Amino acid sequence: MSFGAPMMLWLLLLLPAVLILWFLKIRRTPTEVASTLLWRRALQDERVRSPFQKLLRNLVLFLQLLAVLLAVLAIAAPQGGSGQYTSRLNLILVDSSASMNAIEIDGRSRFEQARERGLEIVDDISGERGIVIGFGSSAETLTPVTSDRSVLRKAISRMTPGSGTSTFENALEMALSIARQDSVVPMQDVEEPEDGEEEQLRQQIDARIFVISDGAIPGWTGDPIPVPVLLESVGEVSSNSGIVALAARREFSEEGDLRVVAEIRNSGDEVISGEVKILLDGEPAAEAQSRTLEGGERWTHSFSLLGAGDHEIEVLWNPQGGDALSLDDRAWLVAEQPRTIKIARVGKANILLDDALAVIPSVIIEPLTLEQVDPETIGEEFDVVVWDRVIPEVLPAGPGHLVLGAQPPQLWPDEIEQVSQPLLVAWRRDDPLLRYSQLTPIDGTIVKSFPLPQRDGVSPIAECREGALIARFIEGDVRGIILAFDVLDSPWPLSASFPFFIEAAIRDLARVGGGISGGLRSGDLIEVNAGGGVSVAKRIFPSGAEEDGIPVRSGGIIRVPAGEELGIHQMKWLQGQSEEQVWNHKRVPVNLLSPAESSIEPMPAIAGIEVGQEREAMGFWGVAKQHYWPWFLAFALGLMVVEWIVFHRR
Amino acid sequence: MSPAGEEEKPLLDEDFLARCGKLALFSRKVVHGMLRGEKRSRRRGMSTEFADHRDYVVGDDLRHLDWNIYGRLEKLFIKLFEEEEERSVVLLLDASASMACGEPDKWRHARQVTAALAAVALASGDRVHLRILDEELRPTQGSLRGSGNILRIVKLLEELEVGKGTALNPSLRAHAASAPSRAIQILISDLMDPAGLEEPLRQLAGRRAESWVIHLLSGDEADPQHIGDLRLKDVEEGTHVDVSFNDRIHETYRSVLAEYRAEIRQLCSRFQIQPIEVSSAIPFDQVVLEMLRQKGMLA
Repeated sequence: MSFGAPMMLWLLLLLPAVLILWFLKIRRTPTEVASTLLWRRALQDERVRSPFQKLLRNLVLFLQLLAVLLAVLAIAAPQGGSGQYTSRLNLILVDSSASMNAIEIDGRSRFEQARERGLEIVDDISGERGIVIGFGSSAETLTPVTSDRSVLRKAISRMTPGSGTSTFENALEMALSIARQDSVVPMQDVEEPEDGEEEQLRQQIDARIFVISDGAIPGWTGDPIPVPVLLESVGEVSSNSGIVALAARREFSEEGDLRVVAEIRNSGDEVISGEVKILLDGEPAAEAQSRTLEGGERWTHSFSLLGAGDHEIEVLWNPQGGDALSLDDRAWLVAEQPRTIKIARVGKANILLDDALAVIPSVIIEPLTLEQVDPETIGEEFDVVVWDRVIPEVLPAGPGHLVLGAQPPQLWPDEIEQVSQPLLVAWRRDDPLLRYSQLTPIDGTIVKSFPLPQRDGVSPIAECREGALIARFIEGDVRGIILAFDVLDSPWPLSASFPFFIEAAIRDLARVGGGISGGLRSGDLIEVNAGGGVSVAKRIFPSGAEEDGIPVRSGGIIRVPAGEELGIHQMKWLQGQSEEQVWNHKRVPVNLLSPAESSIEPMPAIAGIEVGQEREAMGFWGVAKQHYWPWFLAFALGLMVVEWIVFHRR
Repeated sequence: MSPAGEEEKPLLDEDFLARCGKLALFSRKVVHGMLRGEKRSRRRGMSTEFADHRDYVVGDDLRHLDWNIYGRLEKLFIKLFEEEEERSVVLLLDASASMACGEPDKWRHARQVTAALAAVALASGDRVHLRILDEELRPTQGSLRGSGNILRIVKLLEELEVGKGTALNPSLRAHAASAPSRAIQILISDLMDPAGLEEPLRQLAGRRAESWVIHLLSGDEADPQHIGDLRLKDVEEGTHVDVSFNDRIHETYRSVLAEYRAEIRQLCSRFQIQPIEVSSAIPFDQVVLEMLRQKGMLA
């Protein structure tokens, strides 16, 4: 046995202090009596009658000394085993995704069952170490690795189910990372190894992973897992239906100017009937539609509404008799009138570029020469500045910059080598800029280009071998998109993808969407571009609760986690000069919309996971470090109780 | 301590005094005093109650010749009559510091019993000697006779203060030297004398006297109820003992007290003294009117 805090053994000096106190004895209350004659006789008799009295008195002293000794030793943190060995690590993964809200036959939620199972597992891992990882819309460790089961128990007890989709893969990656860090070299049960014959065992992981879930989680597509994974499946009910997709677009037809499409899915095997209805700003906006869904059937229904302007849209699915999971029976959208984008186009005449800009709805374009640009005010006057073959020495902070055929000297001060007819080697098809654009027209067709060398703050979108042809850049408060060639030196402006790219770039730089907002899920980040001059921001949750003091980032960006509350969140910020400040706001719907979470049928296994080898394969694991201080402290307290009883009975 | 106002009340009230008038001290032995009194004496005297005859001798009072016998026998006989003498009652009150200690108030209780006995004795025509003991015998006050003196004795007792230590042996030795012969002696004391009780009680013994000891303890001396760790300080000697109270030590104390009382009873038996054990927890009127009568002291 060793001590974790041997310096505390100085407290053993308390033992002489106890002896001194003992000899000083107890302070007795003086009381006058007529005579002590009979009391003296009584005490003599008592001593004669109780020859063990003296021994008993010493027993009290002995108990006191032993109690102090044990208490001091407890403070000195006695420990056994060795830190280089380990006890088995139990990684307890608890699913808190939306499907865990399903109500089971016994009236409890599926998550309550999971919590109960989690506590049972904690009780079963006595003497071993554990860690709790929760995974819902995000995966996070809820405890450190500890052998203190009360910590694990408390963490599991405090967990609540969320409303997001499962991030099981992240949780499992996290668990494997922790397990790998915990790997040690097992001991070898050999006597004195002869020279050169000792075989060094490799590091091994002594861990197992418990996954407490209903199984409504994606399969594992990673590498084989080197530790046992035990699925603790909870839940029985499987019948559920809900909204799994919701979208809207503005249109101009005889039926209306806003079309909302909702997809409802019966994810169970039983036939479910119900009706779907739509509310516009809380009022029914169209006739409710009833439908009977067979097991596994999907039903897509569209509503055409008169919805010009700003509106909150709510779609409700009411299955007859209710269902196990209510979170997926409602979904929300927000339709907003897109704001007008102000564009400064700086440079020479370029009819093809002007045509591309002109087709973008809700924009105001002002042509300027380089000399007319005032760097001090341009950020307040314009959302986006298009630099066409001209560039100032320093790009002003504030607006988004679309640079065509020029290189900002503050980013690339050195001369860039010209490349003719560069061949594209890579482009990011998943970038929103290229969602509707093909770069085939510029592949090997640009007469002359100046590919941009890689540097910090530059994120290439399209690359040739020599560098980036299209890239995003950000340098402090300056951000933009740059084309390393003159578009007139390529056939791209004659292609249909060019105006799509220009519109996407303008909207991206102006941070303006199409007016329909509905894509967020719980766990995502809500990001709002509030613009300049904003210092105070707050959020109003769907429940009406308010969150004040939300930080405003550079450029007026407000970014907060969406949280677990489904519905329409309202971001509000105070904008303007001190005397003319006004509250602006933006509404952000947060939805579940997850076929995986709506499918609540419990799964007996997790796809893609094989059971790993047990630890006893090679070597043994020694005796892990164990802390004895709770026992010492408990004995010390017990002795104090015994001492008290003995003292008062003598 | 006594209840509030108890100390200011007179030791005896009028009703109790009236009841005392119906009682008398009972003596197993016939006693005599210096003066003719109301108690029968073995000596033949001057009362009207005939006792015997004897031959006439020169010098006898001719008024006592029995002329009837002379007429029949022609011999001179003198008629003897029983002489009625007064009786002395000596009340020995322990006024040591220990008597003022304990609850209920032992000192007041002792003075009340003393006053009551004095009242009974005076009402019976006895001569009462009140003697106060502490470290020594206090100066004798003289004796009193006649019911009219009862208030004087009560007043004296009310004003009496306790002294310091207890020294029963020298005090009682001094008393014995000047004690009236053939008297009733009643010692009222807690008998807490570290020097022992054999010699003091020996001083009370005597064939010519009838002696009683009223052993008075306070309620908390007879049945202590102390709790916790106490330092018991002797009010007379100033010494102390440290006692950690529990059921066991209380039980041992009660056992020691019983032994002490038995020891006193044995000594009393040896010296022909009548012991009476009294607690201040028992009201003094109950002590006088019931206990002392049951023990045969009063009739």
